[in-house]
Amino acid sequence: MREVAIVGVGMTNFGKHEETLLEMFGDAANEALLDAQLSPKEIEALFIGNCLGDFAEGQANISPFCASVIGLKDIPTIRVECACATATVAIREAVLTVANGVYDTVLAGGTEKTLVMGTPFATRTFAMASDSRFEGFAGITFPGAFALMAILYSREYGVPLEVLKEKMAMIAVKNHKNGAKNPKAHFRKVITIDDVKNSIMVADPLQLYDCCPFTDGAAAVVITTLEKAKRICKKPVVVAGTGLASAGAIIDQDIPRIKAREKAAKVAYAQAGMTPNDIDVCELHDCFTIAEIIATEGLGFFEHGQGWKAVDKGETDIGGKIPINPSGGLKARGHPIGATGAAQVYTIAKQLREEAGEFQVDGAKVGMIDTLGGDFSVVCNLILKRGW
Amino acid sequence: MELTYKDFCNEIKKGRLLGLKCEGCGKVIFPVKSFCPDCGGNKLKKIELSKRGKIKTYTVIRVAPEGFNPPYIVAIVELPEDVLVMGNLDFDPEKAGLFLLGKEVEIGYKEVPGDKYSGGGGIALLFSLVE
Repeated sequence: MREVAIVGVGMTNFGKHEETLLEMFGDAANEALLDAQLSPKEIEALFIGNCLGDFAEGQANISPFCASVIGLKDIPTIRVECACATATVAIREAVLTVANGVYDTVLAGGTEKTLVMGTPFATRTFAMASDSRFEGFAGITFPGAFALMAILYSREYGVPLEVLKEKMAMIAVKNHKNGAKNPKAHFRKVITIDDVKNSIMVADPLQLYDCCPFTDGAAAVVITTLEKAKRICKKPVVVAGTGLASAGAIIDQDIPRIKAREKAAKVAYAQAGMTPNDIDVCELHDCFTIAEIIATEGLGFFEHGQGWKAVDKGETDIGGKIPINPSGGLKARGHPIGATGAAQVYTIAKQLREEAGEFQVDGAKVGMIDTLGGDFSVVCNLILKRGW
Repeated sequence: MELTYKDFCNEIKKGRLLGLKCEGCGKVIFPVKSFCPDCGGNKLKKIELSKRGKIKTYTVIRVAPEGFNPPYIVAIVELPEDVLVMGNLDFDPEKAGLFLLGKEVEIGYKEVPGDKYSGGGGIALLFSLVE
C-alpha cells in the first residue's frame, strides 16, 4: 500500500446556515483546494458524507451534485452514510483508494443541515440511526441512548451518579472553554457548571448542556499520495493508521463498553505502529458529555471505569496529558452529523501544522480522530502525523 | 429467516416472546439474525424467551422524536437467558429513579402505529414492575 497524505483542508463556520447543502460543500471544497493549491481538475474522485439531505432538503443522490457544484463532471462520486461517523468513513474510504493505487488525488468530506428540520423532526431523523424495529418503536433518541449508558456506567463502575454528573458538567465547561477560542465553532461562549446544572433535562440524567447542538456545516479534505504531497506541499499530514468497526443494536452490545471503538482503535494503532501514549492531541466523539468519558477509555487513554477522573485533574485540557477536543468538540464546535468527521480531520491537520491559533496544542506531532455513529454501532478512527 | 419481525410481533400478541437458539453452540440470540454471532452457524431455531427480567438501565425521554409523547421511560431489561431487550416501562416518569435498577419486570407489549418513514407500525415491549 502507498503512503497517503492530506494536503488541503477546508471548513465552513459551524452554526446556522442559510446556504444549501451544496453551497456549503462548495465553500468547504474551495477552501480545501486553495489550501492544497490544486485545481478541481486534479480531483479524480469524490467521497461525500451526508446523512439527512433527503429529509432536510429533499436532496437524495447528493454526490454527483457535489462534484458538479465545484465544476467537475465525468468523475466517480460516492455518497457515504454511517450516521454521525459519516464523514470519517468517507475520508477513510478515500484514503484506502489512494493507498491502493485506484486514484492519486481525491476529495472527501461532508455536508449537513439539521437546524432547518426543527428539534422534533431532527430528533426523529437522528433516531433513524438506531435499530428501527427493536429500538425505534420504543421511542429511543440519541440523548436517550447515552443516558442509558450514563446510568449503566455509574452502576457498573460504582461511581455515584451525582459525582459522575459533576464530572460530565466539567467536560461541558472544558469543551465550551475550548470552543470559545475556535473562530469556526457553533458556540463561542464560556459556560459554568451551574449553567449545565440549571439547563433542562433532555433524557435523565443528561441535561441540555450535556448534549451537543443541532448544527449546519460542511468540511472537506484533499487526499493524495505522500510522494505527490511532498512535491506540492510543505506540511503534508500523513494518514498513519485507520480503523473502522461495527456492531448491532444497543441490546446486542457489551455496554457500557463500546467494542466497535476498541476494535477500530486497535486496528488504527497497529497500522500506525503506535500506542495511545504516542497521541499528542485527540478530537473525539463527545456528542454527549458521558460519551467523551467512554471514548477516552475505549481509545486507551485511561482504564475502563477511570476516565471520569481525568477532567478533574486537567489531564484532558490543552496542555494536559492528552488534550481532548481542543476545538470545542461536538459539544461546542457543533455537530452537523455528516460533516463532523471532516471537521475533526480539518482540526487535527491544523494542529499538526501549528495553525490552530488560540487552541493550538504546542508541539503536536501525532493526532487522533474518533467518530461514532448510531447507538454505538459504527466507530471510525484515524491517526494523523506530521509528514515533514 | 427463521424468525421475521412480523412473526415476532404476531407471537408477542399471543403472549409469546420469541428469540432464537443456535443448534450448533447453544447460544440464545436476540434480536433476530440469520447466523449465530458466536459460532457462525446458520441452524437457528425459534425459542420462547422468559417474559420476566430485570432492569439493567433506564432513562426518561423528555425531548422526543416527532410522533412520540414525552415524558416516557425507555429501559433495557436483562432476561435470565442472558439477552437484553429494549422497551418502555409502564411507570410514572416523574417518579423514576435509580431504585428501578435491578427491579424485576413482566414483559408485555404495546402497538405503535409508526409514521410515514417507519414502514408501517410495530410493537414496543412494555415492562411492568412486579410487585
